[in-house]
Order: sequence, then C-alpha cells, then structure tokens
Amino acid sequence: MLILGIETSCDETAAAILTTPRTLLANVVYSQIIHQKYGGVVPELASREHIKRLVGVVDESLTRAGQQLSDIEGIAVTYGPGLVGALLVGLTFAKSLAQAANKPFIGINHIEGHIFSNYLESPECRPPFVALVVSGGHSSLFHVRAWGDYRLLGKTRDDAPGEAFDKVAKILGLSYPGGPAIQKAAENGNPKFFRFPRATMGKDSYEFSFSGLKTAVALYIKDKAPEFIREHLADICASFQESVCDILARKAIAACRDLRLERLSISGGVAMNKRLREMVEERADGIKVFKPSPLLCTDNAAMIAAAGGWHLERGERSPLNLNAVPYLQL
Amino acid sequence: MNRISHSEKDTFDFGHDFASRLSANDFIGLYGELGAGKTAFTRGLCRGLGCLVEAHSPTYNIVNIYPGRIEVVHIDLYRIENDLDEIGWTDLIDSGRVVIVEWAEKAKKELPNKRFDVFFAVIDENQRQIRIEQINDFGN
Repeated sequence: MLILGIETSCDETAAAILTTPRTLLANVVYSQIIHQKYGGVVPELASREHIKRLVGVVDESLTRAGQQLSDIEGIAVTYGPGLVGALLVGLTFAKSLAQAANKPFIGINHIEGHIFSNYLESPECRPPFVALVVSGGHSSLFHVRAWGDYRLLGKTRDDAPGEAFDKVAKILGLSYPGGPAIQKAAENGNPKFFRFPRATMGKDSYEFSFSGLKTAVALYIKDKAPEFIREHLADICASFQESVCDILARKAIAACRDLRLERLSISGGVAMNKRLREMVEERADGIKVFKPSPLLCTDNAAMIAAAGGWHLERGERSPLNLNAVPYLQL
Repeated sequence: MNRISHSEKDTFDFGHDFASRLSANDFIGLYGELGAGKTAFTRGLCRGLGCLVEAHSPTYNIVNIYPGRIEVVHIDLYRIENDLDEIGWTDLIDSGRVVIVEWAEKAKKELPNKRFDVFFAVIDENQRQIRIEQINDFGN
C-alpha cells in the first residue's frame, strides 16, 4: 500500500511517501527557522509557516518518490498532540485531499508515530517491548503490548527533557534549541564535576520530573563568578546532561527488567542525544536497544506514514470530521 | 497579599487558593527568575480553575491554551519583547479567558491596566517569597 504521511504538529512541515510496511521512498522535512530568534516555537507563526510550506513539501515528497498523487493509496496525518493551529493546517489539508481524490484517510497520534520510527528501521523491534519517547514537548514511557496497543507506564509531571535542555541553555547563555547546544558544550566536560539531583519520584515510579533539576542548575550558578562559569561551562553542561540521561536510562531499563521485556525502543528528538544513547547501551545488559537514525528522531512524516500504513492495512479509517486534539493522549 | 512558600507544593497550593478570586478575562502577570516557582504557581492556579489538563511550562511553545470550565492562556514572554503582534497578543488577552503571562514585564505598555501582578523571589534552595498585587488603574 502506497502511503502519503503528513506531519505539522509543531515547527516541522513534513511529508513522506512509503510503501507498507517499511519501504521509505521520500522523507521531506522543512524545519521552520523563523522561531530561532524567539528561543521557542511561536504557535501563530508556526501555523502561518505550515500554510506557506505544506503544498511545496508534499509536492517535493511525490517528486522524490517518483510517484503521482493518483498512485497514493492512503493518507495519514498527525491529529494530536501538538499546537492546535499547526495541527489544523496538516489535518485540514489531508482531509481535503482525501475527500477530493477519494483516498482512505487516517489520523495518527504523534506519539505513536515516534514509536513507529523504530518499526520503520528495525523489523526486529517487535512487541512486546518498552518504549521511551523523549522530545521537546513529551517524555513518556510505554509498555507496547502489540502494535496499536500501548499502556502508559509514566510520563513527566512538569517539563519534558527537551524543555529542561532549553531552559538550562537559557540559564547558561547558550543558543536555542538547547539540546544540541548543551551536548556540544558538554564535549570534553567532566560529567562528575557536580552531581545535580535526580528526581526519582519514588522507588517504583516511572514518572519523571525535570523542573527541579533546572532550578538546581539555576541555584548552582547563582552565586558563582562569571569567570568560574566560563571556565567550567563544559563541566556544568556535562554534569546536567548526565543527570537527565541518568534518569531517563534508569527508568527505561528498570521498566524492561520489571516487565521482563528484552527490547527497548527510544525515540523522539532527545533520543538523538549521544550521551543518552551511550548510557542506555552501557546499562542494557542483554536488553536489545533500538534507536532511530537522527532524521527519524526529530519530527518527521515518515513515522506518521509508517503508523498510518499499519492502521490502514487493518482496514481502519478516520471520519472526515476528525478534529485536531492538542492534548491527545496515547 | 504576601506569603513565604517552603516548597514547590506550597507554591502550587498558593496558586490553587488564588484561583478562587479569578474569573474570565482576568489577567495575571508573573515576575521572577527561572526556578522561582512561576510554573508551579500556574499549575496550582490552573488546577483551581478547573483546567482539564495539567499546566506546563510554555518555554517550548510560548503560548499554551488549556481547555476547561474557563479556558486559560499561559504565555512566556521571555524572548518576545517587541514582537507581541507575532504571537497574536491582542487576540489572546481579549478572549474571555484567564490569561497568565510569565515575564510579563516584557509586555511593557501592552499590559492591561487592570490586572494581578505576582512577584516571586528566591530566598534559598526551598523558600520563595510570593507577593500578589492587584492593579486597578482607571486610566489616570
């Protein structure tokens, strides 16, 4: 089945063409650069950018895949969670296209999409497994009992890890987005320079909290001289990064052990972090860890097409009155 | 109104209590450094207002909108300053919602005359001073 996937939940305008189950023919992502100067995503601007870019991005995906719109056999689109205006652009476009061209249509949960990024690259990533989805806006741990059957084990009570990276980058005067900036600054730093707190949220909890960690960094540098911070920037970044990754890796591995599962999937933008990838592998001890390549970690439509293809092939369809759901849960 | 908070939970509870004084179209400006408790206070406030989702930091999205009995707009102006139009400021603050703005000082002259200002100061690792002022400026 030839699937067109569309993703506009935040600041990436993306389209992909895929033959089920996992042959990716084109994966086009336009990252909106307009938000850079604000140090965050401006919802109003994101919607306007999606409107400007989406048609071109979809055209480009068809061209790169060497396909015509008439060849497409199903359309999959993100309908939540995300920014309501941004979601509506992709969703309305996809619904209109499905109706006009008379194609099967399905709305996909963005978080399910992130889990499917490993389905796309690793056929061995078979349920049951544990999935850690970590990004700028999300941080959740799932027990994937089967494709399409997810049990939430825990999520963040406050900030997502990507947000913690952004805030700490802000505190330390580094650029946006904070994840790559801190990872770079942390190179050659000593991760044991200072031990920032790890919020465990109770012994058996799979919940996360990153707000206190951000506050701890703010308090730590508050009474330090600017020269000290400059001199130890790499150490502070490495120590902070160590704390975030430690919490994520610890909970993900614990979930695998508790549920006696041998496979762990990590995905989402923060899954690009080298230290996190490394740490999860170090602690895996027999657990097979699946990590998407960087292009499939950040928001993309290939994962939406993959999840959409899976659901469409089972005969599932969404009604054409499907609405955007900004706080959609999985 | 002045209170010393001894924990994040205290700050949350203060926000929760304060919600009973609010109704649609109220504007609350929050002032204080990162980690001072603005988001924790907002979480409590939104819980008190009956929001259907947990409030979370708008650092990443700049504008969060929470559905509920009264819809709540939660804005972070940290890096916005002269670009209020770009985030749809006029529509956002005049919409029948409760509006909560972190780093409200960045809005300068665009701040509504009638509002609540909430100031957060870090005393030490756990303690915060939180002060609420009601501003009623009738254009004089």
